[in-house]
Amino acid sequence: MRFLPLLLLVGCGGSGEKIPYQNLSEYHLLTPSGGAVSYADGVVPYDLNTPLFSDYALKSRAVKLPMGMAAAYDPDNVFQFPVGTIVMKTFSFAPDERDPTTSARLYETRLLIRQKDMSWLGLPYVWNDAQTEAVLTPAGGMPTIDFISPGGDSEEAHYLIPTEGQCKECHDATGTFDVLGPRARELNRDFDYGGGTVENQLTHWANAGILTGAPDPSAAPVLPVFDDPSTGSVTDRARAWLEGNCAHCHNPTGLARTTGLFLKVSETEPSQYGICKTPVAAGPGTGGFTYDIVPGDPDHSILVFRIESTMPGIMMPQIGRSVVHKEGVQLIRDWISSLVGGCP
Amino acid sequence: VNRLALVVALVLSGCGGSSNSLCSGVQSPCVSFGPAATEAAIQTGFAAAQSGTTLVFAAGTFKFTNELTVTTTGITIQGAGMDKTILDFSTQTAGSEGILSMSSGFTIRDITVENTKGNGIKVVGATNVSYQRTHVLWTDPDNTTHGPYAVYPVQCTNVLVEDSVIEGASDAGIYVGQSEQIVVRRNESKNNVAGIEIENSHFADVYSNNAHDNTGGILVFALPGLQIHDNHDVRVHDNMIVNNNTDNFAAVGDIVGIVPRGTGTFVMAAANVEVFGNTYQDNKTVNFAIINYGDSGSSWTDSQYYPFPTKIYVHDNMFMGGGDAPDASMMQPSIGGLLAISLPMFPGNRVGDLVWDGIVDSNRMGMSAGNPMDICIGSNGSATFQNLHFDNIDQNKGFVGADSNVTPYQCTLPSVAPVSFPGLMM
Repeated sequence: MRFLPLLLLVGCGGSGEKIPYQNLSEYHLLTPSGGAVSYADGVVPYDLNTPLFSDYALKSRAVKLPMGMAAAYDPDNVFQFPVGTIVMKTFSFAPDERDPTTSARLYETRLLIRQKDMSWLGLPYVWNDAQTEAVLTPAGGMPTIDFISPGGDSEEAHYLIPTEGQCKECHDATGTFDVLGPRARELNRDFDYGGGTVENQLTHWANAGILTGAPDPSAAPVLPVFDDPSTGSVTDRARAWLEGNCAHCHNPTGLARTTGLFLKVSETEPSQYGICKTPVAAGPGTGGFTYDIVPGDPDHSILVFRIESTMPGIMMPQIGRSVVHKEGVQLIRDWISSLVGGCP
Repeated sequence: VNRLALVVALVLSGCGGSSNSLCSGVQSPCVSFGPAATEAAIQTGFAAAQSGTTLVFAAGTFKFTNELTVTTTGITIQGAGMDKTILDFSTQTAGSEGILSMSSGFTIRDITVENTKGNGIKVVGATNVSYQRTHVLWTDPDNTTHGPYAVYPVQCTNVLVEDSVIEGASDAGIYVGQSEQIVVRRNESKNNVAGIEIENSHFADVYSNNAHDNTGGILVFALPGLQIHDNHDVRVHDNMIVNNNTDNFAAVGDIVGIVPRGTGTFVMAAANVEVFGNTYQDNKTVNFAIINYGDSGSSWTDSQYYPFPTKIYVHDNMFMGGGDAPDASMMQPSIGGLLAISLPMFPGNRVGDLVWDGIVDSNRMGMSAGNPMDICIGSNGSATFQNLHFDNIDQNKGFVGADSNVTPYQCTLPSVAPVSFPGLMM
């Protein structure tokens, strides 16, 4: 009996001889240490201006391009990465995130690997308790994690490691799986590469030979950092937060295209980004309110109700969060409060 | 544990089919889940399923904490029968649906899906979508806690919903939105806010359903602000639309939240709608109403949206009872409340069986020989007609301009064609 599954595995050709590997270590991309990861040569870490909130998980992002290959710059969309590119994101939590380097634990590393047909393969790897290896887990998982948030609040997350299918809710709503983060506006910021090197990421990528066609950062678009007032007004940062947290679905081709609510910063029609917009299919998600955003009145805005909820079926985003992003919610509240006019 | 689950699923999904009994007679590839299958094994099986796989569940109850997501084409989810295989989402803590498919060629059949935290079974942007013999329900006595939509195909093409039982949705039991080529037949939809809803869709055939004990039975309409701006070519025929008098329990803010209890059918902002052969019985606010979006009290900015109903042909339906106790419980102004205070003015103290709001698009004034909106009322037995003249309302007395003169609207329209699409069995 013991041998039967093994024989079948060999017969399927899925026994670790080729991608996807069962163990993350087989890719030789990163090494775990003390609840963090360090990257192998040729793997370039990066950060985003206003990233997706994921239960206050600490995130480490990196990309590895095939030797000698480069991505093509695009001012608006994700860069065109060559076949064989691996984009990786590692999620960890520290017991007290005011001190994120003490006793942190790795939970998962997600890989996106660009296939020959230019599609991306999304692979969730879950770290073991010994913190020595992460194993491919297409079923995902939902560990309960107690921690103190960066703001000092005690939180209990039912942290969602998405199933492979759920990866596609954000990445593949229209049949084209794509990466979300590595866009000019998100990458256009400084990064500390260690050894005293702090450099703009677009510049660094160009100099490293992994990005072609990039302009000087001053000529590239830049998304405000939601919690850094020096990067934009309340309105600009609120719209940036909505783009980073909602627009992967709420855009004219995303999973939420059927709602008519579109939250990219580039959306300029107020009713399309929620001002006095009535919901379409919210159900109990309305919270008893009439409009997505009521200028001047966050307490009667459906959008606020849904980003403050942790109930599945009501909360937004629909997946990937089980605690409230208090700082993000406060920014959205401040923005809505600053708007004038009300609704009919 | 996870590794073990993966191995099990790989064995199941196999390299070309399974030989176990659940898959016997099922076209390969087939993946089966026995009565003791864990959520991890099922999630792994879903993730690993290759195109064209049938995922077979044994009889039994399967509990989930996360939604099931289908992202591969040609997936069939098959149980051992309604109420024999139960996918139980009462312990769900993640996901906005019970089952979400984003892929074409999706079929679900012979299964029960219950107590999802959000919607029941949502399919987005797919071609060839079938729900067959599927029971979707919520069981919490507090129906305001129920998910909004049970059967929820949206932006789909070639949609079949048949022989299913849907109950308890806090918005619409069977909701077909922004879709085209649609057949909804032989379903029982009950105790929902809306029994069956055809919204912003084209070419729909809704027949032989039993919509009873909802707030509203069968609703056909378009809303503004969506990627599909209109609703046209809909047949509603040979349905039972009975006793839809359940108090509205939708959340305030939802469009169906303004539907008065006791509504049989309303057609709003739709074109080319043929309604025939139905039985309307004891829908206490109104059995059948033709209205424009303005009646909802909402405004809109969608320049491609047309708020009026046109080319509505209602004939050969049977009406019994109803219209005798309009729902006045809704916030004013409401159609139900206005109808309620209007009753003393209406013949027989009841709302007409067939009601039109009487609002004419000023751009169509003078067209169609005194019937510019092409509202055609054929023979409907002893049914009574009422033009509400919605533009002449007294807040204390109601529809003071209403009249019962059906003569200008006694006309016929070309029949709306039946819907057919490849693979649809008639």
